[in-house]
Amino acid sequence: MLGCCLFAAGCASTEGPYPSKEIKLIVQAAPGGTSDTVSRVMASLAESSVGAPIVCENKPGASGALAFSYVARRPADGYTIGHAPVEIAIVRSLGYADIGPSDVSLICLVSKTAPALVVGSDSPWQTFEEFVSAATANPGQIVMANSGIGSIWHFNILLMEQGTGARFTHLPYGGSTPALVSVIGGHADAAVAGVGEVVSHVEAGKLRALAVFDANRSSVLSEVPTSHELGYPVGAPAWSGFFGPGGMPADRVAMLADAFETAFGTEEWAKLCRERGMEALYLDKDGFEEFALAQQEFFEREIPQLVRMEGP
Amino acid sequence: MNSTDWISGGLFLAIGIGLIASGSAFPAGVGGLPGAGFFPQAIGAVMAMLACALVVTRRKKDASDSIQMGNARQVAGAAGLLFVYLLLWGQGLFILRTAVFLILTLRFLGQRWWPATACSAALTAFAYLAFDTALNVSLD
Amino acid sequence: MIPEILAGLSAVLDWQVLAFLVAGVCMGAVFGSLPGLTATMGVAILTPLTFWVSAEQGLAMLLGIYCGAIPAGGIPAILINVPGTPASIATSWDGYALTRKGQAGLALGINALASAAGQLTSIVFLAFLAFPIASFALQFGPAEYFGLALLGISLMAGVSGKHVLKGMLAGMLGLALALVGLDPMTAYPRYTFGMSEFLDGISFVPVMIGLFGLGEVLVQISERHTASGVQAATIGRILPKAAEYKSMIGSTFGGATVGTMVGAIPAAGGDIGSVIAWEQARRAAPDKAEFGKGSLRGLAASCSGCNAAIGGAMTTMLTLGIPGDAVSAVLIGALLIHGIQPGPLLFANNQSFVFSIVFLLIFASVLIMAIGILCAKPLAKILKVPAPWLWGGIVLFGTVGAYALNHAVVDLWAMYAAGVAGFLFRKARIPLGPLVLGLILGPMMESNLRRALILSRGDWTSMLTRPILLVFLTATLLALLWPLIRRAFGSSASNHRPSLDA
Repeated sequence: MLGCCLFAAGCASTEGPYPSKEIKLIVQAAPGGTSDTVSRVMASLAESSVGAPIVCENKPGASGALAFSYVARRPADGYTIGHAPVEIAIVRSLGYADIGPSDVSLICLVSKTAPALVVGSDSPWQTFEEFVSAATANPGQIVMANSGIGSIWHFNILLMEQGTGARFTHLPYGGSTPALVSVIGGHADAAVAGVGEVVSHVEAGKLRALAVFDANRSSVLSEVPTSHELGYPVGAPAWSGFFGPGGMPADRVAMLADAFETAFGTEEWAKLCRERGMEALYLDKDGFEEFALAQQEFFEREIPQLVRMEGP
Repeated sequence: MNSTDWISGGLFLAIGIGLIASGSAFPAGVGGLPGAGFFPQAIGAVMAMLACALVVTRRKKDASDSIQMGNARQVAGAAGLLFVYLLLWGQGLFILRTAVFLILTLRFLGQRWWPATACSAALTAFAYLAFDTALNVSLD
Repeated sequence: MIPEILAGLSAVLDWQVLAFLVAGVCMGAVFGSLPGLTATMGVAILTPLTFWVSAEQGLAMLLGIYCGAIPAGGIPAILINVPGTPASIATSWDGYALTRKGQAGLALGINALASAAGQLTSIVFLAFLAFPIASFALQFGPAEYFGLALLGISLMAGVSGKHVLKGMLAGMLGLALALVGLDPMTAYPRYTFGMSEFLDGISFVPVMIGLFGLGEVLVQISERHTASGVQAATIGRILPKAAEYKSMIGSTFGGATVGTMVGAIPAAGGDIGSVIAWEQARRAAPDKAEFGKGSLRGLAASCSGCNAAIGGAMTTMLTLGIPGDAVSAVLIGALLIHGIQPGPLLFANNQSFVFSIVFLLIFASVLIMAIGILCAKPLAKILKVPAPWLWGGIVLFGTVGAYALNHAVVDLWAMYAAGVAGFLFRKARIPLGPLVLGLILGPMMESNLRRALILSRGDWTSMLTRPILLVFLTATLLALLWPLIRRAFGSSASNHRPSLDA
C-alpha cells in the first residue's frame, strides 16, 4: 500500500502536468536589493496562478554572470528560471561570461527604471543646461560619482559624456547608495542612479534631480525634464524580467508568462513599482525578445567605444 | 630547525615578493593616481619587511616554539573525509551522502557504531529541516 | 512631543505587534547562531512577508530579527569558538577563553547583559543626539573612511597577543586576500585566474567559518588525549557578581559609545565596531594582559559594541534615509513598501512612528536580555555532549552555512582552504584576529584611499587638512607606537595589579 502511494507520487512528480513541484527562481543579486525584491514579490504574487511554490535563490557575483550561466546550464524543464536584469545584455561585452539574451528562453519583462542625474541640493547648477555647460567648459572639474565601473548607471554617465561633450572626473563606488551618499555629503558633485533610488532623497531636499534619461517623464519625478526634451536623446534604463534555460518548451514559457502577467495586474505590484520609482511595463515573450536583443546589440556596439574613450 | 618563526617567515617573504612582482604586471595608474598594482605592491613590501624581521629576531632556542602536531593522523583523516565529501557535493541525495560522511567521520574518531549512526542521523535531519525545508536552500 | 511619544508607545503596545516582535527575536536568534546565516539575510528573506501586515507589525518582526541575530551570533562564538555572524568575532576572543576556563555560563550571561546594555545605550544616543550623530556620519568622505580603516588595521598589533610580528604578517595576508577580484577603481581583474567566481572577491563569511569553525575542530582533534585538549565541561553560574558588574561598567559603556559611532557611519557596522570597542577597552583597562584570555571587560566591550552598532545604524537610517549598514539598507526597502520614507521628513511629519521604532528597540533589548539569560543554561549543555559529535555538528553546519550564503560551490572550497590554513596558523602560533581584520578592512582602505586621491587630483598632502582624518591618523600612530612609549617610560601597570578577571 505504502509502496503504491510512493510509486504514484513518484510518477506524478515526473509525468504530471507542469508544474508538479516547486519552481526555483535564481536571483543574480544579494538579498535586499531591487532585483531581489522584484523577484520575491513577483514570485509570491504569481504562485497562486502557477499552482506551485516559486522559491527564490540568490546567486550573486560577476554582475550576475554566475547566475545567468547557472540557469542556462540547468535542464530546460521550466523548474529553474532566473531573474533577467539589464546586465544579461551586458555581461558578454564586459567579458564576464559568454551569455546573452539570445542564448536563453526569455519569458516576460515586468518593469523598467530610468536613470536620473542628481546634484547636491546646495550645488550651483539649477538646470541640466547649466550643468552640461559647466562640465564642457571645465573638463574634469566636476566630480561624478558612479555605482561601479561597468554598472548600468556608469554607462549612462559615459553615454552622457559622449552625447553632450561634457567631461567629468569619475569617482567609482560599489553601488548606488554609497555614490548618492557621497553627493549628499558634499564629497562628489553629481551622480547618476535609478529614479527609484534618488526619489526619496530628492523629496527630502537632499538632492536635486536635473534630468531623467528617458523619452517620457517619470511618474515619481514628473516635474524633472527628460533628456529627450532637453535635446540629448541619451539614456539606458535598467529593467527586470524573467528567463529560463535556452530551449524551454513554448507552453511552459507561455504558462509562466501568463502567471507573471496576472501578478503584474495586481494592486500589490502597482504599489511596489510606485514606492520604488519603477515603471510597471509588461512585455510578453515576443516583445521582451525584441527589446532585449536590441539592448544587447546596443551594448555590444557602445561598450567598446565607451571603454576606449574612458581608458588610459 | 623546526622553528615556526623560520618557516612562516620564509613563507610570508615568498608571498610578499610574489605580490610585488605580480603587482608590477597590473595596469599603471593614470594622471599620477595609483593603479591596480599599487596596493598589491605596498602590501607585498610591508609583508616582506615584516617577514625579514621575523626571521632575524626569531628566538633560536625556545622549545615551546616548535610545532606540536599532536594527533596528525586523525587530523589528516578527518580533513581527507571532508575533502571527499565536498568533492561529492551536489551528487545524489544530500541526506544520504551527509549521513554516510558523518558516520564515517565519527567512526574514524573512535565512536561506536550505534552512537555514531544516531548522532549522524540527527544532525543530518536537523540540517536538512533547517536549511532545505525551512529556509529553501536547496541542498540536493 | 509628549503626545507623539505616547502615540508611538500605544502603537506598539498592541499584543499583535509584540507577538511579531517576539517571533522576530526568536527567528533572529536562529539566523544569528547558525554560522553562514546573517542578520541581513534573515531580514531580506522575511521582508516580503511583511507586505500583508501593518507597518508596525512588519517593522516589529524585522527589527526583532535584527536585534535577536546579533547577540545570538555571540553564542556559538562563546561556546565553540565559531562566530555566528561577523559582528561576533571579537566576542569569541574572550568568550571562548572563558568557556575553556569552565565559565561558559558567565560568558553567555555577560553576552546577554552587555548586548542589551549596549543596545539601550545606543537608543539613548538615538533619542537625544540623533541629528548631531547623523551630521558627523555625513562628513565621512573617502579620506575619512581611509582613516577609519587605517585605525582598524593598526589594531592588528593589539589583537595579536604576544606574537605581534606574526600577527602583523597575518594581517597583511588578510589584506592580500582582500585584493582578489575586480579592482574597485578600474574594474581590472586581480588574482582571479580567469574564473568568474572570483570576480567579486573571496566571500568573507565562508572564510570566517573555515578559519574559526573547521580550523578549531582540526586543532581540537589534534590535541585529543593531550593535557591541553581537555574539554572544560563545567558551565558555572550565569550572572556576574556585584564586583564583576562594577568592573565591567566602564568597558560596557565605552564599547556602546564606540559601537554607536561606528554603526552610524554608512558601510561600517558591528564587525568593525566591536573590534574597535574591544581594543579601546583593552587600552583603558588595568589588566591588559587578561584581554584575549577570558577578560570579562573585553567580552562586555565587544558584546556591547556590536549591539550598539544597531542603534547607530538606525540613527543614520531614520535621520538621513541612508543605510548605516547592510541590514538597515534592507529595512529601508521594507519601510518604503509601507509608504514610510525614512529621512528628515519622517522626523518632521511622523514623529510618533519614530518613537514607535525607539520603543520597539527598547522592548527588543529587554527581550534579548531575558531570552539570553533564560537560555544560557540549556544552551551551554551543548558542551556536555561528546566532543566528536560537536565536531561533526560544527563541520556540517559550517559547510551548509557556507553554501547557503551564495549557493556557490566555490565558497565551500574557500571554507575548506581557510579551515586547513586556520589549523596550520594556530599550530604555528600565528594569530587569526588580524587576518580577519585585514580581510574586512582591506577593500575599505584601498578603495577609499584611491577615491581620496581622485578627489585631491593625486595630491597626497592635501588630505592632511581634514580634521577627522587627522584624528584617525594620530590615533593610528599612537596605537602603533604605544608599546614603544610604554617601554620607554618603563612602567607597565598591567602586571602588578591584582586582576579581577583571573
